[in-house]
Amino acid sequence: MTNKQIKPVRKQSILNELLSREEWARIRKPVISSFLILHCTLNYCYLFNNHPYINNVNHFFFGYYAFMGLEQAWNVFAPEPRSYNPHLTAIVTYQDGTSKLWNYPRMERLDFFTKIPKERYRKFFDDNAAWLIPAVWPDIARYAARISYERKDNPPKFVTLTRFSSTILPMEAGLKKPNLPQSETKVLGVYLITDKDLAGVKLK
Amino acid sequence: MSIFTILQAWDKFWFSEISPLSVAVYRILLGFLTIAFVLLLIPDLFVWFGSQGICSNQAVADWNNGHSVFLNLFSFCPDNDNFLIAFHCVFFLAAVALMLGFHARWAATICYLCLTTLYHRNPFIFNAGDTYLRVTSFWLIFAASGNALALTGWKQRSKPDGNFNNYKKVSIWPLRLLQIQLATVYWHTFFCKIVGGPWIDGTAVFTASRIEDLQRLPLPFVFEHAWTIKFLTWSTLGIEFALFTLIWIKELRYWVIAFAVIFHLTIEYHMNIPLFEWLMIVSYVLFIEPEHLAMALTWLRKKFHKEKSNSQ
Repeated sequence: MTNKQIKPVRKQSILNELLSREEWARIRKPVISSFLILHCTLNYCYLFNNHPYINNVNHFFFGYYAFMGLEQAWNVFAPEPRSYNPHLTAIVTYQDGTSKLWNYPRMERLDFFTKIPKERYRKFFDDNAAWLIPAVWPDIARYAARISYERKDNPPKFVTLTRFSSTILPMEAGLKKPNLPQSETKVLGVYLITDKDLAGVKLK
Repeated sequence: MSIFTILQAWDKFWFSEISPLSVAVYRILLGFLTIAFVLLLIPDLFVWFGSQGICSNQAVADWNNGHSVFLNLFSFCPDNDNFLIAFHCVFFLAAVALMLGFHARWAATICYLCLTTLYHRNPFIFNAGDTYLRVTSFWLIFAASGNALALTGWKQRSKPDGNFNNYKKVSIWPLRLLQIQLATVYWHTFFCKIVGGPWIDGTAVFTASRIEDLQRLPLPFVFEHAWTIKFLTWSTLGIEFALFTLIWIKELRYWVIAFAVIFHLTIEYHMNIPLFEWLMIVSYVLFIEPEHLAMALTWLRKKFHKEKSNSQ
């Protein structure tokens, strides 16, 4: 092994502007150590937020942590996997009283390759929107209305969002049996559609 | 133990020097997966982020209790689909630059900004793999990942000898951060699981296997017998425990990685969670000794040259 080709290392350009090489060498370790301690502590506090003191730390630093998009949680299938199979539908009712069913691409109905890029529908609808985030329900209704808007003389007037689901049986009862049909029903809301909601839609 | 000993250990762990090869290989693989991330978003880009999409800025702000001061480049041009297209093109180019090592630090910075922007624009579509990609791209900014196997930065490094062994050593702390990030994933998931319930009684994998929207390819036999389900449930806990503890022990590291790769490939086969398993698998390269990576690369190069000369 030979080192004869090694050339001198060029300094970082931004640091070069701010500090001399000696100054940076003097403060380098304390600065980097502070950065490391801060971020490792923040990660720990965010992930194991189980004490009032830890909560205070999170509260104090949350502005920075959230601004930077560093928040994280790795409770995948924990403390227990999702124990229900849901899907969401929208019934778009038009001005003349007719209606149309709108479905997002459902993973269990897609083939191997199609479901790879469409996985975000699963995350958005089945994991989040159907249960946890009512704030997006009016947006979903407006979206369903916009993409179902086909005739100018017959615009959508309201949209009904409905969630269908079934509980996954526990192992003792469900082993070697198929899943239950998604027949538990809950109407999430009925949303009126205004002309403003349909503005900008290009009719086919 | 004296304070001096602790400081010495801290210094050795965070501030020793190492070949940039591990982090460079990681950069290439992460760049490749970031390209895949960008391409997979294209078919529904306007559905998720467009002005007429399925999730408005207002809904995200409501969900954040009215907070909207986030690192989000769309704030400069809200609800502008042309800006969205330009943004996505820049993101794609940055991901390619990251893979090729073209101004790697800047490329990592742009990738991180883009990933964080997309996350803040619509946080409801991203899974754990996307979170991991975003967070690790932030740590990658600090790494000298462009000091090896890169298009630019020749002046900042020595030329490698024939065995990829002559790279000028760099500070180890960014690599340590990336390693700790990976260990943190398994640490947190392990402690979230062992609080009780189905992971302890051995039925968790059964429930997970019955989530219809996650299924990809069937695994016959395995999910039809209680003993295989219990074995897989407890094996998951064992592997996840090893991935934040035993992986730090040199003699056990490659065994742990081998089991972890099999574990993630099994999930990849059965479940449709694009990129997550691959992100985890490529991250194990951070724990491979640079000398071993150099040996593997040398072997690959020899094989490549041999095949090339044979074909000529």
